[in-house]
Order: sequence, then C-alpha cells, then structure tokens
Amino acid sequence: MTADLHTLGGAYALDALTPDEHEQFKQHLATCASCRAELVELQATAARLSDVTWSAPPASLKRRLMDAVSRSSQERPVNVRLARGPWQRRAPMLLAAAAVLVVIASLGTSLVERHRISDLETQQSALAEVLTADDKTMLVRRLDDGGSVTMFVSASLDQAVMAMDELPPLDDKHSYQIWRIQRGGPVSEVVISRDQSTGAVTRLVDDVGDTEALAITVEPAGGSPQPTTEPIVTIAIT
Amino acid sequence: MLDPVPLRGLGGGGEPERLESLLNRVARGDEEAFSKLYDRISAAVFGMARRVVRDPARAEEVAQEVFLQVWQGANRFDAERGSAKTWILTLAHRRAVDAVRHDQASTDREQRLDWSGGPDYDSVQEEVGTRLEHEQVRRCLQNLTDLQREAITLAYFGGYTYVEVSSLLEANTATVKTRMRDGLIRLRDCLGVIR
Ligand SMILES: [Zn+2]
Repeated sequence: MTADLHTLGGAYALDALTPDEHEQFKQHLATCASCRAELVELQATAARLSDVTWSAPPASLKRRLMDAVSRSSQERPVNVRLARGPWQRRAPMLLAAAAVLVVIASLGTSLVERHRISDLETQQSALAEVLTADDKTMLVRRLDDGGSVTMFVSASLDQAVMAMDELPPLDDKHSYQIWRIQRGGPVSEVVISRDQSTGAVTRLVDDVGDTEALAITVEPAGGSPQPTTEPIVTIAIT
Repeated sequence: MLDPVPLRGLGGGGEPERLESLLNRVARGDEEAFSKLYDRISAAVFGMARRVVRDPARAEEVAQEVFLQVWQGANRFDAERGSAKTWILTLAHRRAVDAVRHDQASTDREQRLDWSGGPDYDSVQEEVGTRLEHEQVRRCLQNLTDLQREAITLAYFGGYTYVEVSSLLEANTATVKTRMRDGLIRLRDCLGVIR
C-alpha cells in the first residue's frame, strides 16, 4: 500500500485522483519527505502546461475584482445603531471596516488547516461543533498591522467562533477587547489578557442571533465598559 | 503582458517585479500589487480554466473565485513549496477541475477531448516571452510517449481522473497512474523546471 502511495504524486499534481485517494495521498505527504519534494517539482511542471492555453479574460472580470477588493463596503453594510460614545463619530469608518471582509467559505480545507483548526478541535467540543456544522460560514479578515481574525458562524447552533491569529502584541498598558454590536450598541464580550493574546486565541460566542457584528478594539489594560477607540476589526454576522 | 515565470540571473533594474514580491505586497492588502499580479497571470488562469470547463462564462467564474482566493490568502503562499505562479495555477486548476466535475452531469465530456485547437492567441496581447514558453511546453510534450502525453493532457486539460483516463485510453489504471508520474518527470526534465 505504501509503495503504491509513492507513485500517486503525478496524478495528484494533475488533480486526477479520486476523492478518497486524494485524501489518502495528502495524509501520506505529511509523513513522506521524498513525495513532498517530488510534488513541488511536479506541481511546477503541471502549472507550466497552462502556458499553452493562454487567453485574456474579458476586461469586466478585472473591474469586478478590483471593485471587490477595494469597495466591497457597499455590498455588506452593517446596520448598527450605535450607542452614544466615540463610535458614533466613527460610524462611516466602522461600516467600511466591517464590509471589507469577503465570505470565502468555499476556500475549504487548506485555509482551515492553516488556522490550526485541528488544534482547536481537540480543545473544546463546543468549538468543534461550530467548526464542523453543516451550515457554518467562514469569514477571514487580515489586519493592517499583521495577524488575522477568522470567524466561523453557525446559524443553526446560534454560535460563532472567533479565531485570532498573531495579533500585534500590545504593551502592558493595553488589552484587546471583543465587543458584540447589538441594536442597543456595543456590549463587551470579553477582554483578552496579555498572555493570551500572543499566538492563536479562540473565543466561542453564544447567542449570536441578535448580534449584528463582532468587533475588536484596543483598550486600556483590563478593558473598558464602552469602547474608547475605533475597532481594529469588525466582522458582520449575516 | 510579461512572462510570468520567475526570472533568474542578474537582477537588472529593467526587470519586472517578481510575482513572489507582488504576492507579498498583496498579502499586506496592496491593491496596486494585486492589479499588477492580475495583469501578469490572469491570461494563464483564465485560459487554463476555459480549456478545462469549456464554457467561457463558467471559466470567468472560476477565475474570479481564484483571484479572490489569492487576495484573501496571499499570506498563505509558501515560497518553500514552489513559485507564485505554481501556487496560483495549482489553486486555479483544482478549482477548474472541481467546477467541471460538478457540472459533468449536464455536459458531454467527450466533447472536451479535443485540445488540438491551440491557444486563443487572437485575444492575447502576445509577447515574445510567452510565445517561447508556449513553444517549449509544446515541444516537450512531443518528447513524451503517446500514453504519457495523452494521460497528462486528458487529466490536466480535460479534468478527468486517472480512472476515467484509463477507460478513455483503454489502459490499465495502474499503468495510467504511473505514466502520469513518469511523464511529468520527463516533462520536468525537458522544461528544466526548478523550484
Ligand atoms: Zn511517498
């Protein structure tokens, strides 16, 4: 069986394996350095095949894409009625920030793997339930200063998981704080302690049905009753 | 459009920015880099997708998904595992193959067997570099045995699994699997592919 597996690299590089074998070979790759090394070259070779089918796409495709990456704010507005406070003045910014995210649930396993979901799954079954829910959607937001936030939402479970990966480190006078944005305004969900905020942090959020968005701000250490800065990220729950 | 293959040798000032470097900028949210990256690689992505899925509108969908995936996931590009072009085309091919397998019930896949029509150069702003790349791949494909070449092109451009390829070519599945691998290895050596 193993000897057989070593020969699958060619078909794998051509995406020509059956789904079962595709998975099998992926697992094999994790343990077989020679197949990994060979695959790098075979994939580079397969990619060269595209040199013979060059065809320029219609110009409208580029327009749509540039639109999607720069002005997606119009497509996914967050209807947040803000409470009195600093956010009121920031509303347009908040809307823009919220909407840049693009739903990429179809991105599938490679991204999930990269977000260390396998680690998460073993941590807590409640997390795993959301991550494996049939109706879960996945939203990824990269932060301007590094790090990323991935959110998984399951409407049927009425829960979301926020996975924060390598957020920029804060000094000891500041903490990250997660907020739920509801009709009445932002409500504190949790303050992330300093030792928690390095590496990957995950948070299970219950009762997301009434929540329009989740946001993260930088607050004075220990957190604030209401946000005092504009969010570094806002992710709409749809 | 410029040759999307990473340039080697002396880095003269007149050389276009490497795709890897553009991808790094894309990972930081640089829209201008995304635009340049698109200009350099979209014809490869779209042309391949069009060959695999046949329907130009569907190919456009595939290309759109691929580029959104590149925009979102550029920080996941790992230079250890190949060039930027390989990374993008690998994503794109998987996506195109998924699309065609998903649609296959409604299409007569036999129609997709023919790829001898050649590239759609009428719609490409052709440049010498591209032309050379193209000729080299064609020439190296001719160096393969018939079975190697057919197995590889049916899988890559037709989106067929090796099991389907076996039945189309009336060959043993184990043989086809092996020919895909040794054919790609021969192609690799002919093209002088280095990571
Ligand atoms: Zn192996």
